[in-house]
Amino acid sequence: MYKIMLTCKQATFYSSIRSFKKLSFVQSIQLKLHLMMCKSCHEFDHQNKIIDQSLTDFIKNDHLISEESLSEEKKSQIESAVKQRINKK
Amino acid sequence: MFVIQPQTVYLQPVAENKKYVCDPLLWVDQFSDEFFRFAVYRVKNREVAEDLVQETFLSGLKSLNNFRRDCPEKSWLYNILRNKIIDHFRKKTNHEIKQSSTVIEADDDSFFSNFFKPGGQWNNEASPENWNISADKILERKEFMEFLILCLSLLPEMWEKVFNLKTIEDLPSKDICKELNITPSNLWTIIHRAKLQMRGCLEKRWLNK
Repeated sequence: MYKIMLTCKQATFYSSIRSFKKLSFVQSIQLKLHLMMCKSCHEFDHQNKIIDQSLTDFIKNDHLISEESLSEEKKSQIESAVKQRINKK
Repeated sequence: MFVIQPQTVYLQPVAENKKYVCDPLLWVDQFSDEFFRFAVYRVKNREVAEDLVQETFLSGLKSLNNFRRDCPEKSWLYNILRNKIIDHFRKKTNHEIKQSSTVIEADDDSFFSNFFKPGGQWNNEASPENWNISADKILERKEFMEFLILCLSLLPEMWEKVFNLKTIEDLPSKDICKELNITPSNLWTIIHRAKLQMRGCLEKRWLNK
């Protein structure tokens, strides 16, 4: 027997793993119900989505927006390694 | 197992004396900064990232004999780089896995008591506040991203591994468990804890700064 109403701890658990694992029908109903009634968990769920989306965005775009670059020293080192390898052939 | 091979469609023998259509000498100028940025955010270490970029070009060069013309240099090299990064994570993971996986569940109770009362309701001080922002708009805020990265870096290492495997390798959960040698319920607990911590960290450092 299980209770239909989740505790906040359980609700945040389902909300957290949702992007990794599809919830069962019962679980998603339980979560929905809890989120409707609990303001804190509703916020948690919303912020969770923001975090997930931002992390995905971060991974996809970070190398385009960042200003970091290789040092000139390392660049010429790589260049000579490449040249050396070409000449070997 | 999860290695992306350069597309075999392009693998063809080269006639002798034929010049490369891909010019490896231009790679460093054209791609090295971008590849470096791609790598450095993932491995979080400049030296390792530099080495990975170099290895990428050298590996690319090695298999260049197999290429005829019109090789899609950049995406092909990106694949090599991505594999190098994955190998790097895998080595790191195998190396550290034995100590970390046993500790995961040990202090669950004390961890969760920071957030929830014994009955499972939020502790007053840990309960989420309204951030007053929408998911679309937040991405425009560079500042938010900076705090996001900061909070990400404060998470335990096990989460970092889960995150890398999920977001970079795009592995399904059961393969993440296999790679990290943990059970699914371990994985769910790690994710739950990471999300609680991450959210709390952002609220504390970014919203209430």
